[in-house]
Amino acid sequence: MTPLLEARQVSKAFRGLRAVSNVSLSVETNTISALIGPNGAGKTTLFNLISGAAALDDGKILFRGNRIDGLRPDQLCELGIARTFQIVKPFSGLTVLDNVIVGALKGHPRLSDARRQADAILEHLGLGAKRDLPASVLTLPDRKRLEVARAIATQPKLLLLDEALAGLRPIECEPMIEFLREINRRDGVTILLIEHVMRAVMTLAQAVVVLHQGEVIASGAPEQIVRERAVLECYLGTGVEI
Amino acid sequence: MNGRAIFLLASLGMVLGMLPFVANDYVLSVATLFLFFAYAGQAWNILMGFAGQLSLGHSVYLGLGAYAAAALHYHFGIGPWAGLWLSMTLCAALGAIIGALAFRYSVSGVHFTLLTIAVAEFMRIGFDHFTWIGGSAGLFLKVSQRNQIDLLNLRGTPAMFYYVILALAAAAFALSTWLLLRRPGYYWQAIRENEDAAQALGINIFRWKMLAIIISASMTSLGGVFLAFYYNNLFPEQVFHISRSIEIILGPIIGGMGTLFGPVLGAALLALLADGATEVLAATGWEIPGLKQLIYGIALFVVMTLLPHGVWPELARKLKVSK
Repeated sequence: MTPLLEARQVSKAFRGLRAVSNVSLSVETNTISALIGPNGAGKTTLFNLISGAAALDDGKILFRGNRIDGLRPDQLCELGIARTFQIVKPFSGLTVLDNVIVGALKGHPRLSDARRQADAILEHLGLGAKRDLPASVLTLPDRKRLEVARAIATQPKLLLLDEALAGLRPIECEPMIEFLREINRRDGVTILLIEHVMRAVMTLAQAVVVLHQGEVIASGAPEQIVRERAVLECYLGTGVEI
Repeated sequence: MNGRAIFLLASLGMVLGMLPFVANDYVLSVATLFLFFAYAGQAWNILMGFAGQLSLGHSVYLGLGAYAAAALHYHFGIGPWAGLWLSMTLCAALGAIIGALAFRYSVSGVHFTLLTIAVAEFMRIGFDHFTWIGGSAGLFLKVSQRNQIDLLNLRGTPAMFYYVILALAAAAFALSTWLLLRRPGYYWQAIRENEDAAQALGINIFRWKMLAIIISASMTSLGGVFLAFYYNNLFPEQVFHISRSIEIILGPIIGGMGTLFGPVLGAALLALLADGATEVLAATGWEIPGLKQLIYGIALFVVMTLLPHGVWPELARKLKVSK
């Protein structure tokens, strides 16, 4: 079976600095995969390449077996790839609900339908009470939730989450993890996430890819990854208990 | 839009509809200008207030629209109701060219604004030398009897012109409402707030910006047609001038950009302030040239300082009316 998403020998350099170097990875349909690695490893750059926010120098990216590199983010969204931003980008002047409606309008041409769907998503993510507030007054954890809500509203097949849990307290992480697991199981949304919260990675992900200095240094099941010497040395540190 | 807003709108419509029966010609001319700026402001607001693209060259659509319809009338006796289609087509095309250049090649922010100014200036100078339609000496339409209403040729009494611009302003308001509360409004506002996020949500930025500039340009051109037949004279130095562009945008800025009532309220406030002050001073024997511009400047300064989002959002909160 062809994987949902596949990167083949993808490279990207910024002024000679190889941010992503010869990276290959594949994400199977209906799974949750995680991309981990120390800061500056090239995780967000790889996300930008997959989501069309940046052009790659070399390699190929395939979605359901078709080339998608070179497409714009809106075209990728049409195909079913949604993303969140690590540095959140809310529509500050709009209400929380309107933010999500913008995403929901993709699948629901009628505003009333889009509003109903947006409402349901907000309720689900615990933002229901704040739906009529302008997005500009939200706290950072709420903005992170809003990013996820907006992306989910486009009804993606593949969801790329760039540190959606960062900045959330452990008690706030739990509902989000539960939410992600649910959309994965119930709606069949495949998820690729960048995450530093290892507990979330361990509970959610079925496959983990470790990036270091732009290169894949390990990949496999999470239990296997945490025992790899190279991963321990560059990222997790030795002697951690997870 | 909630009940209060609809009530407010209905009362406003009633007052404006009755005005010609109680007002004299002077008041009617001030009200006509107010409605003209409410109309043009509404058109500009679609591009800037909704989609976030700052044009300081909207006089170009006003001028081109005015000249196209006036030239057809002047040379071939074609009435404005036929001529306005040429005006709208030309201005939609010009808007599309500016948009294609800017949005395709990522000319954004202040550079887009400069482009709009440049095109307007280019047209002003071009029309100054376009002698077929009078060049810098101006184009004059034949002034006929003002007491006979000839709606087909847009010749008639001040009251007729008043109702024509009232209908245009009402239609512009309705169109803006319709657009804002549907997909275009949501997508434009998303683009205005954050282009990257908008694009990531599946919005084709280029296509929606193009739609905004084309609608805004063709709407503005109709204002130009009105202007030509209302004043019966056109000078490139006036109609294409940047000060005309500024006059168009003052209303929405003072009233509240991106809102539906903002352009109307702003135009009304400016008309009341500027003409009211001029009248009062004239009655007391003072004539100050340039007073209007001075008042515009002060009004802009005061509003920007105290209410950066414009008067309407604040007023709407007080009246408990939806924005």
